[in-house]
Amino acid sequence: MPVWHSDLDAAKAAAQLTGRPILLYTWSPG
Amino acid sequence: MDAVTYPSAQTETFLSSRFECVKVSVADKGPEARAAVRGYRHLWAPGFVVFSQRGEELRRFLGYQAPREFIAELTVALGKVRMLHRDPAGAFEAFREVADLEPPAPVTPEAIYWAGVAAYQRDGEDLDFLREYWDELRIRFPDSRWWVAADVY
Repeated sequence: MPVWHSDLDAAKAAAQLTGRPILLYTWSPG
Repeated sequence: MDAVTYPSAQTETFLSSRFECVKVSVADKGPEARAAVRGYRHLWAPGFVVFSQRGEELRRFLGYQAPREFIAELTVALGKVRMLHRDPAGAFEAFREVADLEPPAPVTPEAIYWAGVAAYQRDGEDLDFLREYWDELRIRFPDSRWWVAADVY
């Protein structure tokens, strides 16, 4: 499974390092 | 998504190698979750937003996505990232990957549209190239809104 960040800022910081774009997935538990 | 699409090997490999992924529950009222979706919340879930490495929003879509359709949507987003980075040749490859899917994915007409734009930028901004690629929309997807968008040329 891919590593899922729970924080958009953390994903942006990771994206700066890896050069990858960001996918934000919002889901509903119910 | 969590039952079918994300566990599939195809999706896992694609996401792991090409995206930084953020997962937020719309029911999570914590500050991190609220901050993550502020300004990007959809009216419905599941929702997806793709950003460039620099944080520019490039694509939104929503609703359940089967693995093949999900990867097609994200491949179009990757093409737009490459266009943003002034890599029209790389963008063209991404868009054509989706344009050439058989059977076509729902996002295929849009991919053909953008492939034309990328080819136009790659090949010296000659409108004849644009017409050549967009003519594929007229032939294959004449009822598509992307052909309506292209028909002006």
